[in-house]
Amino acid sequence: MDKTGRQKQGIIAIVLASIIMGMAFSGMYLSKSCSFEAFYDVGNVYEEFTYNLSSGTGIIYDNESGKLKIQEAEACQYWILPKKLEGYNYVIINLAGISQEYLDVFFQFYSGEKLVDEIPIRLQEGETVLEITDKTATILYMRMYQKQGMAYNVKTVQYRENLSVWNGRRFACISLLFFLCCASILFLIRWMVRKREIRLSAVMLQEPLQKIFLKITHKINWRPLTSKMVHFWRRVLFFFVIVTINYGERANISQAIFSRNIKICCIVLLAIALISLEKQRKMRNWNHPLASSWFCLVGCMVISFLIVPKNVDFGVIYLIVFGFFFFIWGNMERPEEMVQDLCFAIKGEFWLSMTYFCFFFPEQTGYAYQGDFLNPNPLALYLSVSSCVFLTELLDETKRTFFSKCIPAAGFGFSACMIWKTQCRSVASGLVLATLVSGYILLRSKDSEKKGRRVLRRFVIMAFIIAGMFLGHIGINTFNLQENQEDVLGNERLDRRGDIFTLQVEAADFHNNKFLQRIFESKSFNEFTSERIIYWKAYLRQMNFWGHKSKAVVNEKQRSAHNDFLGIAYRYGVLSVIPYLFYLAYYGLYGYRYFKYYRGQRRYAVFPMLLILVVFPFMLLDILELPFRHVAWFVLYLTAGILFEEKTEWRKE
Amino acid sequence: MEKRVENKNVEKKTFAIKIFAGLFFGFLLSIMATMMYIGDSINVWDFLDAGSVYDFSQQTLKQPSKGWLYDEVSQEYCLQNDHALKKYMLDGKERAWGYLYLNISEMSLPEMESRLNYYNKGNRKVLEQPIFLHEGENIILLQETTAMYRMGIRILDAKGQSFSIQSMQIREKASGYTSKRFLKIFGTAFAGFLVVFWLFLSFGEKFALKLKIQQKIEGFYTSFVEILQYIYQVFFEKAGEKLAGRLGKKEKSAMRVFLFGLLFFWMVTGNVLNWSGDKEYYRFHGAVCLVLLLTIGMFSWEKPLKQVAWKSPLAISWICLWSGIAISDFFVKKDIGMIGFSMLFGGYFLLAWENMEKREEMIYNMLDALEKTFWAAVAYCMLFRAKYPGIHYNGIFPNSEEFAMYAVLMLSVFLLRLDKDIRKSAAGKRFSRNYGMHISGGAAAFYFVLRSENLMGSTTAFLIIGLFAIRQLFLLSMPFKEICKVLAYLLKGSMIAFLLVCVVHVSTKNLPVFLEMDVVYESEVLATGLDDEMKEALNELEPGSMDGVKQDEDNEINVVQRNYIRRWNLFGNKNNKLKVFRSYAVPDSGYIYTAYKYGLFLLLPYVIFQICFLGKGISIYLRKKEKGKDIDADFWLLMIGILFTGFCIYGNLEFAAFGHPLWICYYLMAGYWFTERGKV
Repeated sequence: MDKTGRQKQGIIAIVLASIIMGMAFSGMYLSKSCSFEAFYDVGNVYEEFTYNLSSGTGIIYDNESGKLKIQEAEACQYWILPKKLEGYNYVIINLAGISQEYLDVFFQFYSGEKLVDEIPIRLQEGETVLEITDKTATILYMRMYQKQGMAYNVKTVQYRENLSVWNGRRFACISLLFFLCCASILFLIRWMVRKREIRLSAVMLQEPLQKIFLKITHKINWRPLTSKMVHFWRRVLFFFVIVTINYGERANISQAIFSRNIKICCIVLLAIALISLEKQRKMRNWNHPLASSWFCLVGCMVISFLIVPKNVDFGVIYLIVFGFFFFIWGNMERPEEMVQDLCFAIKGEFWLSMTYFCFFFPEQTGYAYQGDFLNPNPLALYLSVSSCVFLTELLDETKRTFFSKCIPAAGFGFSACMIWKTQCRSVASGLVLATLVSGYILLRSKDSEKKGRRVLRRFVIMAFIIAGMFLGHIGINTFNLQENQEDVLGNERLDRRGDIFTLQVEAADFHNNKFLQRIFESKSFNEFTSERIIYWKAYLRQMNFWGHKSKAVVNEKQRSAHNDFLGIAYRYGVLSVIPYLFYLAYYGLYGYRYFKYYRGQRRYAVFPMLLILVVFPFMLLDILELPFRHVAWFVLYLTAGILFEEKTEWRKE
Repeated sequence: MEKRVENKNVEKKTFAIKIFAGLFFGFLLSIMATMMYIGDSINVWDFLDAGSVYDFSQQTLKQPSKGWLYDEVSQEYCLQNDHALKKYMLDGKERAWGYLYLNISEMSLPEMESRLNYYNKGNRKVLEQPIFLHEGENIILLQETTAMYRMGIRILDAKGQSFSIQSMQIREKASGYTSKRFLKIFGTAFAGFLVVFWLFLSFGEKFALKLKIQQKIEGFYTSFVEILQYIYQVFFEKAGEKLAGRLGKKEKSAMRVFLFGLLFFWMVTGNVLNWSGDKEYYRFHGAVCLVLLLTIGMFSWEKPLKQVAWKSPLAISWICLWSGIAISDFFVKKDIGMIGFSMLFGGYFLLAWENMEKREEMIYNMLDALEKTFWAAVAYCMLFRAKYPGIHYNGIFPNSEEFAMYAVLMLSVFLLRLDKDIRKSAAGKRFSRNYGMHISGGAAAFYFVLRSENLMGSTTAFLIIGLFAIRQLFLLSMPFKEICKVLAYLLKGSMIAFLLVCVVHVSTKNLPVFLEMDVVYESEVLATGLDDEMKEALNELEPGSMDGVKQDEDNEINVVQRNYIRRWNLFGNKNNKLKVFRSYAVPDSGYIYTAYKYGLFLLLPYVIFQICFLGKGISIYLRKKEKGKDIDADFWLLMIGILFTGFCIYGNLEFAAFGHPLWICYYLMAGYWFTERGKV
């Protein structure tokens, strides 16, 4: 990377760091906590989920007005209180759109079946705060008597230890002030460092590490396997890793078994690296932004682990296992073969899994499809990788036979159908984005073929894609060999034909179309994002500089962040999000450059670029950054190895 | 010719060590096989697969209840009514058990009808099981489907009768262990191993098998050490050059003394404040120790580092020991871990040391640091740490055992200093100006050893004094005038020492209390060797003085050690300590603890390291003194080796990893013997 580029990168990093630190110090100032454990430490906060705000007795939700209407003389809503209100001092209820000036209600606190306290309250538009210090109760009833016809909307119900001190304007002003201070200090430090010609870069870590890898590889003197055997064993071992990761995800394994699986995967990765060892062994050029940001990210992880121990030190695993893997990969004569073998294993595992799902995991009416995963979203994420592989093969411009694209087309159709059935919006949008980009690439491709033949070929491929979609739909609805796990519809819906049970499914049964439902029926942005706002707020409140051991507590339970940037910032310290941002940005950029340079020469040239496109929306709304939990995570991080070998020719293109 | 003889001796020693290693490996393998056989399962995570086991302490087995009156004289229970009940608290968890082993003696009836009551956490009886108790061992099958938190034994229709409970144990699974059975199976397994071993030794060479295996192992080890040393060079060469390149030898020496002092201070502070033993803080404590160690190494940089062949058995066992611990940490995440990685990484210190021109300097720097910090410790004891009557003195540490280790370490330091003073005088040079300090220091250290009232401390103290005394026998060959001169100096020094010890004695007894500056640590363990009677008498004299003081006789070492042995496995255990009798207990044996924490087979490099260490020390000690060769440092290393091994046999030194100067001195100073002097 040239000096100007490095300077720009440095300036951007400083600005970002100053923004983050400015907000962090502002949060500390506002909350008056001065706690470095959590910047915005305002005590316990419990915010009811939106799906709890509209339920009750004697009330109905009016879709037209978007409000709750009181139907009966005695109406009530109830909420189960967190931790019997231990550690909570206030209940804050926010109403909107009250059809009259105010709404008189009775707040009844029950401990089991015993009424602990009854407080009459006049609720008006906006927030009403009720002090509940030293109260112990398990359920809160909001009873409305003789209020038929009245309408209102419950925006939020919160239980808090301390009252909110949030003021957006004040936060912005103080953040700006701290931003200016931090930026000045950081630029001053930068100036001093540059003046003394001290070079602080990830090269300082890369070089010694590579020297050690080089030394280790020089010590390894063994008979190399034949090319065929290397391919075979690489595919087998990649397949094994993918199966191990999938098993861990599907079986909901304990932390102990997960840690063991990680060790197994690391050993297998090292084995793959060793069998890929070739005669050439020399230092690689990792002096570019992708590698630098990767090393910086790893550095943040290692430092965080030293300060706040976690169950597994992923920083060291990245450094040693992935680092060694990338080193050996870079020394291969034909590094694209690694990607080929990886994709082969992905495809193999995909078809086996889909066959397994078809036989044993039928679709259930009214439920988003999840296969044997615990949740539809992880299934969608798993499918995103295989769909990416198939899409890549469809875009392949190396000389292949006409029909070599038919199976990838069918596979892509199958994956797309399954992703649709999971109703996972983030993966679906990623796939749409990748498909659009692929379509654009196809349209812009210089094809020497005759127009008629080209149209016919594309028509056949489309047909195969559609056939794949149908195959997916039929597969999970026809070939199942066992009864549904949850008898949702009752036995009369089962068609027992000897040993094969089939479920009669009709399109109308899919009334729970999450895509459309979320778009048209969400009452708030929080509901639209499936409560993610609550999660994100909780994570932002608990951020600090050095990270945390495990997930944040959201509404009295440890839950994931549903956003990779927040997840990384929370786990490894708020500043670790900067190298992470750079890493993803350069991953995309280098993926594009790699594709441009090797288009038509390497079969999987577009794979890294498509992969980042497919998973990026998922990273915004879900959590991909669970090392060794998702195949997508594994493939994304591993594939970076092909991009580590940045060549100056890429940039000239 | 001499060299050839020396080489032959070295070869003989190496061969002997290899044979011992092979036999010891077979010994451990046989133990593993025997435990698995007794446990009836091939379980590498728990050889014996004994499940949950709870031993009742002797104290508990002598506690009275309303219906069970305990007679101290006859040491028996006397039943007061026809439904005498005694409740027992179990391991603190509500769980289902499988078997109750009850050993009864002196039963006045041939059989006693009883009821075994099961109580849940709410102290409600959930089950009553009829049982019959006999004299001797009673094995009672419990209801595995019913969990209990407490257990009660109600003896029916036996008013006025008596009996004594020798031992009681409740288990999840049946016990297959008896010492006879164990020895039988072990004997068979070990015999089988010996046969295979003999065949391998005898015929292995014929098929070139032995050579191939040996070459592979040696090749792997050499590569590993080369890579390790290369890592040191890559990471620390430049830093060392920058830090120490511009300093003179004296300055570097001064820095090393300072850093060693800081290291010892930090280690003791971490120990006292329990940072080294706390799950949350041990990594910070260890990180600082490692940084200090590496900095000392960097301040030893004299020229570009050259790789060194660490091929001696001592070096090999050192590398294997920490590598084995690192492998154990990889497989089993420890509450207090990373020690193996830290020591391997800190091995840079040893490489830098090996590259020094005068390697003895490092040892003398360490001795200086120990000496200086000792006087600070003495002052601290005099002002802040009172010695109470009847209670073992803990000194600067939270328990008397660690203080004894420290005192005896300091005794070795001053004995070495004194030895050097005497030898200097014998060589015609003037007695060192500090001889008074050396004698006083030694006396103070010895005084502290006696005050800590630790058996191993006293034993090892006398042992090293004996070795010291033997070394002074050379004086007998000197002229009488010279002997008198030396004796005069010693007498003068002794008088100073005596005065100092008196001051220390009076100060520690009275000053902290008088000045109200007595410091009591949170993790302090007070112990006494007094029996119950004396303890009561002392408590009457000074009410409250014996509160919370444990008695040495209550320490059921056998039971604790059995609990640790029960958990032996291949890769080690997560927990730093085991709960025995519902509270954390230590096994008083470094071997048992090491096998528990890191896996049984780690005993192989562990024991061999100690044997090589002692062997080297003894061989140098017994060797005729060669002209020009300074063996003072070797003598000190021998003393440390004896101390460490002693506290391994009976002590808990391994609990003080990075928390005690003796621990770090032992493992670091071994580097002095990694290579032959002059051969780098």
